[in-house]
Amino acid sequence: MRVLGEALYSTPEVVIRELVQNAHDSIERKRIEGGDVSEGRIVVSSDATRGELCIEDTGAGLTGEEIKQYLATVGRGYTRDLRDQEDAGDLIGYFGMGFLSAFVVSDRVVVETVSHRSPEESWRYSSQSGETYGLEPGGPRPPGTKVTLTLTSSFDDLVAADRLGGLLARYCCLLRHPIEHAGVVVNGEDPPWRLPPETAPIRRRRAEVAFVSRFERSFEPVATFPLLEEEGGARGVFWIHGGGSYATTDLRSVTVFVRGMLIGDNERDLLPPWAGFVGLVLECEGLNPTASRETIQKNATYDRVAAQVHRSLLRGLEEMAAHQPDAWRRTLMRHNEALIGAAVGDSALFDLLRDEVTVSTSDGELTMPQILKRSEGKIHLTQSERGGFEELLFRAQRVPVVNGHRFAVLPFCKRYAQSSAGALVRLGTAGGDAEIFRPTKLDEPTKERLEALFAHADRSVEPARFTPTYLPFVVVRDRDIELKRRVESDEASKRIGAGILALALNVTSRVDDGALSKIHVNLSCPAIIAALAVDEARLPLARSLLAPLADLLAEPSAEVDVGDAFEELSRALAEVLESP
Amino acid sequence: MSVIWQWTYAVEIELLENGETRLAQILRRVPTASCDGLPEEVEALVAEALPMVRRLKLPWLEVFFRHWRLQSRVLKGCDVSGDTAREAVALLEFANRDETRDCPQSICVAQDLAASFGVLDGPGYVEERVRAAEESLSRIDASRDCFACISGELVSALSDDRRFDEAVERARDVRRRRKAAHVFGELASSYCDALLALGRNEEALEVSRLRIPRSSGTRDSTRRLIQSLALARLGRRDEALQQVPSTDRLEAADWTDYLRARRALPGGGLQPAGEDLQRLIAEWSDTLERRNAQYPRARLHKIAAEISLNEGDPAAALAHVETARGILPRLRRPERTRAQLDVIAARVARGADDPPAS
Repeated sequence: MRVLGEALYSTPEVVIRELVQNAHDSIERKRIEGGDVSEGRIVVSSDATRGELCIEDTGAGLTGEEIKQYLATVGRGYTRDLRDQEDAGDLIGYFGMGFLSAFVVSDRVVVETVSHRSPEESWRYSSQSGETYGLEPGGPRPPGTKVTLTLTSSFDDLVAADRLGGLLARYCCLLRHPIEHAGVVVNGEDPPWRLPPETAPIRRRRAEVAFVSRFERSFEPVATFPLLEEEGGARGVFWIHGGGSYATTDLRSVTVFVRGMLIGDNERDLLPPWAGFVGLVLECEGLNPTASRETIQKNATYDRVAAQVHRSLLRGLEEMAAHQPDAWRRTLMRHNEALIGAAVGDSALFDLLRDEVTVSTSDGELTMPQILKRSEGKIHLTQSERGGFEELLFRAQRVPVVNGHRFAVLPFCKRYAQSSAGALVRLGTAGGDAEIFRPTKLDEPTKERLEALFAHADRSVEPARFTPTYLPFVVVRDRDIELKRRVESDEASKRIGAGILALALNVTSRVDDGALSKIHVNLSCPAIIAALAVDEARLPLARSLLAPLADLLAEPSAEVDVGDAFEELSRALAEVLESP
Repeated sequence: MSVIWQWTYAVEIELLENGETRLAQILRRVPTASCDGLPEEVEALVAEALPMVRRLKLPWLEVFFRHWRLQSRVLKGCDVSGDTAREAVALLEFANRDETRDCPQSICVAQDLAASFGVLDGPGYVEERVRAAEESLSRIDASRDCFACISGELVSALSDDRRFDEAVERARDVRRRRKAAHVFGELASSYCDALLALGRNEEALEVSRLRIPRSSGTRDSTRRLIQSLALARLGRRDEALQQVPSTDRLEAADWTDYLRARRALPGGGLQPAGEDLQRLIAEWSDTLERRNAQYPRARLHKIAAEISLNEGDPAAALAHVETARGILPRLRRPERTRAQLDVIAARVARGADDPPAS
C-alpha cells in the first residue's frame, strides 16, 4: 500500500491536501444528502512531540458498512459514487484514493467517525499499513470524522507548526468551508477574483498582494494584476517577481486550483515560455487533473486556458505600462534582459517594449530611440566580444555599437530594424561591410594606380570612402569563398564522408570563386591621397610602405608571410628615413 | 548516461569551477530550448555563447552550440534558407577539423546538413540522405544517442521515398539494437509517421503513447498530432479532437501534420476555421517560402486544397493547387505531388463528388 501511494504522489505534503479535501467533501456530501452544514468546518491540529496530525470535520461521517466499503478498498470512494449520481459540483476528490496517501507518511492511521444518518453509531477504524485494519465501536461524538495520523519518523517534520500552517494556507485557501489551524481560519479571505466587482482598485490590489504572498514568499511582487475573465475560462491573479532575473532565468510559477483544491503548483506551461519573470495563481473548473491530481491533463481545454493566460498577461502588462508607471519602471529595471528575450518571442509584447528596454552598447545601456538618434537612424551591431576595425571606426565617430553577443540583443535589434525605418548594420558580415564601405567609382588611371599599390594574388582592391580618415584601408575575408575552398579541398574529402560531402558540395558549388579577401582602400585618407599622387619613380616605395601593412592587418593565413611583409616594410622605412 | 550528456555534464562542472557561470547556464539551457521549440531563445543564447567559447578556446563547445542552433532552425523551424544552408556546411567543415573531430557532438552535424536537404526537398534528395545517414551510422554504435537521431533521419528519408515497410523495419531494428546496448530513446515520431502511412493506426497510437514522452513547450505537439490523426482514423473522433493542439503551440515542422489532422476531422469545430484558417495557411506558406522549405510548402498547399474542397470551397482549393504547382519546378522529383494535385483539380472540376481524403 505504501509503495502504491509513494508511486502515486510525488511529495509527502500532498497528504495534507488529500485529507483536508476528504474532510471538505464530507461536508459537501452532508449538504447534498440534506444535512445542515451551516456549522460545517474542518480543524487541523498537530502534536509535534508525538508526531501526530489530526484532521477533524463536521461532515457526513461514515457508517460501519461504508468504512468497510470505502476505506478497505483502494481507490474506491463514496465521493466517486456520489459524483456519478448527483450534480456534485463542489465535490473534489475520490475519498479512497486520497485516504491512501495517509499510509505514505504514517505508521498508524485512526479514523473515528459518526454518520449523520445514524448518529447513534460511532466507529473507530485503525490500521498500521492499510492492508489490514481493525474496526470497533467508538465513543460518543457528534456526526463527522476525525482522522489521526501517527507519522513515521521520516515525515514527522510535516507537523512543524509553521510548515503545516503554510501548507494549509496554500493548499486550502480556496475551499468554501472554514478550515481552522492554531485558532486561525486559514481560508477566511476570499481570493481577489471572488471580490465583488465594485471593490475599489486599491483594495483589490492590496488583496492581490496579500493573496500571492502565500505562493511567493521570497520577494514582495513588483506588481499584480488580474487574469481577465472569459466565458468558461479561468480566473486568477498574476504577479511580477520581485527578485531580479537575467535573460533566461525561468521563474515561471503557476498554481492551479480545480474545484477549490490546489492541484498543481508547477503548471508553468500555461504561461508563455518567455514569461520567466511572472507568477500566476488560477482557478478553473474545466481543467482535468491527472490520476495523482498533482498535474493537469494537456488537452484542448488546457490550450484554451493557456491562450487566455497569454492574452490576459499581455493586456495586464499594457495596463501596467499605461496606469502604474512606478511598477512598470521597476519591472523594466529588474527584468530588462528577460524582457528583451520575451519581446523577440512575442510580437505583441515586442510592440509594448520596443522603445522601453535598454541594450548594452559601446557607450553603455541605451534604448533603441537613443541609439538611432546618435547613429543617424542606423543600428550598428557587433557580435564579437572585442571589436576589430569596426570598433576603431565607430569610436572615432562617437557612434554607439550594440553588443550583439549579449542575450537576445541581435534578434531584438533585427526585429526593431524590420519594424522601423532604421537599418541594422551587422559589423563583421558581408552585408555590414557593404554598408560601411560604399563602393566608389574611379577613373581608369586611378584604378590602375590603386592596383599597382595594393595588388595581391588573392585579394581584390575595392575603393571606398569612410571615416576615420586616418585609417588607410581595411582588409576583410570573404567567408563564402573561404568555405567553398575548404569544402572543395582534397583535405576535406579525406576527413568528411563522401555521402555527406556530396550534399555540402551541392551548397558550395553555387558560390562563384573569386579572391579570398578584399581590401577596402580609403580614398579620404591623406596617406592614400598622397600615394595616388606620387610620381611613377616613387610608386614602388609607396607600395612597399602600404602593401605590407595590409598583409600585417589581414587575418593570419597561409597566403601571407608575415616575415616577408615586415622585411619589405623595414626596407621601405629605411629608404624613407635615409633619403634627404 | 549518453556520451554527449556525460561530456556536457563534466564541462558544465568545469565551467562552474572556473567562474564561467553564465556559459554553464547556457550550456544546460540550449538543448532544452531547442527541443521545446523556442527558436528565439536558442538564437539569443547561442549568439551570446559563441564569443565566450571562442575567447575560452573551446572548439568542442562551439560545435555543440552551433549544432543545437541548427537543430532548432532546421528540424523545428524548417529554415533551410541561404544562411542556414551555409551554416550547415560551415559547421560540417568545422566539426571535421583536427581540433573538433573527436567532439562527441561532431557526428551529429552530418544529420543537420542531411536534414536540411530533407526539408528543402525530402523526396528529391532521398539517395543522398540515405547514403549520408548510413555513413554516419557506420561510425558509431547503437548506445550513442546520435545513433537514434541519425536513424530517425534515415527512417524519414525512407518514408519520403515511400519505402514505408523498410522504414518501419529500420525503426524496429534501431529499437532492438538500442535495447541490446541497454539504452533507450529513439526518434519515435518518424517511426509513427511510417506506421500512419501504412494505415497501421493502432500501432502508431501505441508507439506514440509509449515512446514519445509527454513534454513541455511545443515538443508535446508532435505527440498530440500523431495521436489525433491515429484516433481520427480509428473513428475515435472526440478523443482525436481533444488531442489537436491549438495553432499557437505549433512550430513550422508541425504545420503540415496539423493540416493532416484537420483534414481527418472535418466539421470538428476546431479553430481557426474558414477564412481565418485560410489566412493562417497563407502566413505559414509565406514563412516556408522565406525559409526555402519547398517540399513542405508544396505539401501544405496540397493538404490545404483537400481541406478546402472537403469544406465546400472549390475556389480556395484550386488556388492552393495552383500555388503548389508553382513550386513543382523547384523539386527534383515532383511527379507524385503533381499527380496528387491533378487528382484534386479533377475533383474540383467534377464538383467534389469523390470521397474526401483522410
